[in-house]
Amino acid sequence: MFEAIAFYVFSALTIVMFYVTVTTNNALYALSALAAGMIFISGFFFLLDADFLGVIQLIVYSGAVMAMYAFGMMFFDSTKVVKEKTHSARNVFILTALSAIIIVAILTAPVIADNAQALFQPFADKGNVENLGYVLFTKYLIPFELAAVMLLVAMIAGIVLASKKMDIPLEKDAQ
Amino acid sequence: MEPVKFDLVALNLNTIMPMLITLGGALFILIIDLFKKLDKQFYVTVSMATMLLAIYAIFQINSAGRGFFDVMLVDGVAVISQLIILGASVLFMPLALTGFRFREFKFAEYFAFFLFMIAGFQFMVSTDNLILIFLGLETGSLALYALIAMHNRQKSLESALKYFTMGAFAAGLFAFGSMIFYGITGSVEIGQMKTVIEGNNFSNMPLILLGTAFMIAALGFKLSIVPFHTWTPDVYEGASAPLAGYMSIVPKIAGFVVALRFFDFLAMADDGVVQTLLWIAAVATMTIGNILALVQDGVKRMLAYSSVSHAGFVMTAILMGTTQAHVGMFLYWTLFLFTNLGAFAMLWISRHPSKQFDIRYDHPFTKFSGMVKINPVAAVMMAIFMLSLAGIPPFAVYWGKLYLIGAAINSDHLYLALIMAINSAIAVYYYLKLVVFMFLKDPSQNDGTIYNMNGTFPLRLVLIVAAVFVIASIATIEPLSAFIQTHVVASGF
Amino acid sequence: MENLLYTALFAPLVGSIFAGVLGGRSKMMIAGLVPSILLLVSLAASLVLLGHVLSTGTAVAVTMFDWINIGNFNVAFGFQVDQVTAVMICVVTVVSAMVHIYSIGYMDHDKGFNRFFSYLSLFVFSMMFLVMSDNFLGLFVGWEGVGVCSYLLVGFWYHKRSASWAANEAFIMNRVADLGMLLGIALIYWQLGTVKYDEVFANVDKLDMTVLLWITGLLFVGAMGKSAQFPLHTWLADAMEGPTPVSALIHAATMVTAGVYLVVRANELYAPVPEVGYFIACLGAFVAMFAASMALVNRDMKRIIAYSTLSQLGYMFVAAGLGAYWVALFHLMTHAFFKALLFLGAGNVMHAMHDELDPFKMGGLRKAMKGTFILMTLASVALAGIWPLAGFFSKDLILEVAFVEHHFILYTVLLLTAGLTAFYSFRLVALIFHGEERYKLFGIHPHEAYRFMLIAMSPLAILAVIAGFGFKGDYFAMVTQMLPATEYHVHSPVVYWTMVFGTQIFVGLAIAYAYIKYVKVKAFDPAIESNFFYKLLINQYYIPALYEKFITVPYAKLSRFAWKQIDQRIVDAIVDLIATSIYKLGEVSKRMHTGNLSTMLRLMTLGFVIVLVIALALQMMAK
Repeated sequence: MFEAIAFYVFSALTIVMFYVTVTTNNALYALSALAAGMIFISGFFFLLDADFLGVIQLIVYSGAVMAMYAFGMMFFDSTKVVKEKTHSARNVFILTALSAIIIVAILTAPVIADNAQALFQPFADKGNVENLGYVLFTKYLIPFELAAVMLLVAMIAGIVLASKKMDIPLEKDAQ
Repeated sequence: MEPVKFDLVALNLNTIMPMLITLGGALFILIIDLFKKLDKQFYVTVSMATMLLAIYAIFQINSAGRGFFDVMLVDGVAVISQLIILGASVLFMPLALTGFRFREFKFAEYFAFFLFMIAGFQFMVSTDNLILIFLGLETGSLALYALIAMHNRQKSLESALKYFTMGAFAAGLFAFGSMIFYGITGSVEIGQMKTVIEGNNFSNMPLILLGTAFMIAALGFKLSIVPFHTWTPDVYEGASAPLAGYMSIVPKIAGFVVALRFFDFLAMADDGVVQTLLWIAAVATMTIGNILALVQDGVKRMLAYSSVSHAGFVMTAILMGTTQAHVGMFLYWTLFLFTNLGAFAMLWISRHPSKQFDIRYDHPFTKFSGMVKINPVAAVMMAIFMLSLAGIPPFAVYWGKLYLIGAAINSDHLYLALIMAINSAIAVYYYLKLVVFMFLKDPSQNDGTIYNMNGTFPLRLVLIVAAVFVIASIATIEPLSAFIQTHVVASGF
Repeated sequence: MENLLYTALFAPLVGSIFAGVLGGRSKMMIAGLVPSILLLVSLAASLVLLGHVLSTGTAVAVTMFDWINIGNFNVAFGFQVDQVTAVMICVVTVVSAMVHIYSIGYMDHDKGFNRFFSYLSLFVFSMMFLVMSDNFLGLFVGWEGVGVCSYLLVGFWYHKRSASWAANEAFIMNRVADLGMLLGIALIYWQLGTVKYDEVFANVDKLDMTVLLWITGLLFVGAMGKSAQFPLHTWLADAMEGPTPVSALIHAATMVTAGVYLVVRANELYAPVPEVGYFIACLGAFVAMFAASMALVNRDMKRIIAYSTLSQLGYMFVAAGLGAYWVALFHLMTHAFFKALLFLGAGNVMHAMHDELDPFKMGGLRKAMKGTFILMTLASVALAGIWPLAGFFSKDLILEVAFVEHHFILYTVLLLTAGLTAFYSFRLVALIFHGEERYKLFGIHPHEAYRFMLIAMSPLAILAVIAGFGFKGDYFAMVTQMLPATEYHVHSPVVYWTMVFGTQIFVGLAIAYAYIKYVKVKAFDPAIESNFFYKLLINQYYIPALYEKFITVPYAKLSRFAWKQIDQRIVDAIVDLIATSIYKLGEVSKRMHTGNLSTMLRLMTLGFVIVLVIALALQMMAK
């Protein structure tokens, strides 16, 4: 009962926040709304007993990512209204509505309720964090390491591209 | 909680050896770069050595199967696709040794990215775990975005950004699709999904279709399936020519392997919905790609759209689902690899780093007018690649087309075979358009050197290798298809 | 042995390629020498093969590789040299080797010297391919190959309108006939699932009679085209536009006999259907007479010999049609020798007379051209069938066959034709070599051909003399291992000797009459031109005119109609419409690709929605 109330409250709040994020023309509003939405999402994780993920959600998204965004925003004129080029508002609306309705209709179909359960849970009796750690360092060792590589690539790419000067006239190579 | 125990042999370390080698090579380049600035010859050598070593490691995998807690899946399909990826890369790498100095090759990071990208795609093809597929895909893609952006043009940066944004969108779709399938089956491994879904006899069809739609959109983006192909011409135009050629092959073969693993059992469902979906997607892709290629003025854009069409052509193999079709898919792609990389390399060899031939295009059709009169060797080479792409016997791609159309007929997809044949006929038009420009028009240049001003020995060597393969395909087709056949059959496709 | 087989087959191809590489250059002696030497090699290999077959009695067979392998259709790329093939390859290589050497002299001043040898060797290769193949499909490939080479060589002087016209005529007529042949082969494959000779012949009895009739009939249509049998005969006389060595090799000795070879080769197919055989024999007899009659009055030296060839082909078909396959092949062989010799002699005369072909403008050439005179007379005697030359043995055999088989009408026709043959042969000899030296009026100073050309002709002359009595026994012993060994004996010695001597006397009289009538001719007598029979014969029974009027002209009209009305108005318009609409579609969809990122993202979403909607719709439908 209490969980259900909490779920719907969080749902409503998250949707409202993200709605604000996509509809507002002011970058600062969008940013704040996004941060709020992220925090509300962590609520879901806590509700689902995934404390670890909840904390991660708070730290990574609400903390690090949002801080990064805010940092980025400082380089822009955040008061300026961003104008998006739209050909036909009606088409966009129809498309969005259509896809949303279909997805919601399918997801809320009763079939889903009894199906969504993990088949392979290593230790049913252990806590969330232990399970996660166990899985991460055995079965998901390779993905974990590859994620590290991915981040390395992203980092180096950012550095290289940021330091690179564009369109410099080049001389003929001597060889 | 008891300590984790595992057997080192059971990990089957061989399965990740090729990726470890490429990753090691990449890291080695990055580390060397910290201490000493070396020129590109060194990096090319290191990269080549790494890739050849990785190929060697692939051949060392004799116990095909799973490894690393069943996350890795190195079966025949993984082996062939890794060989295609590395083969294309080996062919691509010497193209960095250009006559002109291009900015991107000055950076050691370029070569590191290149190896990272290969490793990413290698991971992507040698697993059936959606998480690892996703990570491999993103590693490869991120590195690729960087590679595109490093080409020293405003346009390159722009196209890399576009590609990145759309790629991020596609990644989101992929995650969504994975989530839905996880919701249905409780697993992220395709093999187990198959067991569960077939076990309850496709009972959640609407949900499966929703997930499939997400997956088609996500993979369709990588494979440039219509209507997720819009990035192709812009990105190909922004990227350097060989990279564009490379992009039309390597990320796509990786995508095809994932699509093969993912859609193979879905397409075989009794009601045939997924099969029909793929049918529509494939037909739309090859037809629209062709029609758009028809009206392009720039050779590179034409090749970009035509590679969209080729991708659609090969998509058909997945929906047919027969062994012959799957063999045809890899065969086609191997043949296409040499031809397409050769064609793009021909553009590359005529590139100047700063001067553009035309205001709009680097390589408009008019650039090649009367080429046969001023540079006959290059013209004949280009013509061979075009004829092969057009599927004219006895050149390479012809055999692939023959194989796939044959597979379509054998699996009773007669209309599909007909459409494939018609599309091949349309494609002949725009490929021959270039041949007509080269052979029948009067030269627009006075000087033939423009066509290979960027040429060096390694570039020419790559071209010769590609051309020889294209011409000699009549002899190699038999052992090649036998090799692919054994591997595909061994992995149960 | 296998290597010898390959040598015999591929040496001409190598020669052709060698000369072909030099094709664009001006005359080089080496371009003639190398193919000739290679042909001598091929000849030597063929003779060894013949010796092998003769001594062991076994065929040499090789399978090079699987040639066509589509689905269930397997054709191995195989060759074999059995008794029949051994005879054929020896005939082909002997004649073509001599013709090659002869051509070095004959084509001496021609600009297309290298090209000529390339074509000529290619022809020999195709002909060898034709006869050596061990299946119908290979035979067909060789068949088409010789057709193409014939086209190239007839039209060798392509700048001459008549030459290119004749080349086209020959080619097109053969195409019509080849269609029949291809259908026949397809029918064989359809019925028996194989095209290999051995397998086909082993299963003949499985065939339905009607089917067999169709197969043999269709194959014979092909043979009719290649061997220029009525009504597809007109091309052969026109093909004389080609250089004379070509006429000797292709249109006398080898290619035109391919039809006979086909019937002989497929004898096991023809054996169960004697009615087809009888038809072939009747047609052959008719052609023999018909062609000989046209040769009587013609005023073109080469055409006369061409009609003579036609007539002799008729003889061969009579023999083949009556089931005397070995006799047909025997006549094929002897005929190849003396007819090639005759043509080569005619070539010498043409050279001497500056390409003049009308024998009424020659006369008395025996003084200037002694060697040619002897050789041509020898060939004519052989052709006329005088004992003991080759023609006597083979032609008399055919007459005996007709007689023994009680086909007395055929016998009579052939006997009369033998007389006609003797008459026109010696009419030609008398007009060319005897009598007054009429050519002086035209200011021509004839000269003998190069000595080596005469030497090249001499082996043929020797063979024309001895091939009859020298080879008959061995030949019979050998080929009858494969072909039905029916001996044709007239039982009563009185009848036999009457027949032999009667024929000889009849022929002798014809020769004498021709000689007396033409040796004193001063010039062509125009009075004869108003004669009805003369008109009929000189106009080839008006058959070319009929073809022109009833086939060529209506066909041209139909083609013009199809071009102007159907193709341009309907087909082209539709094709253009498709092309432009596809192009328009491209232009329209090009506009979708603006390169705007938001548009692209939206398009992706749209695509996703479309995929989803279609998926759900299909799902509904599937339920």
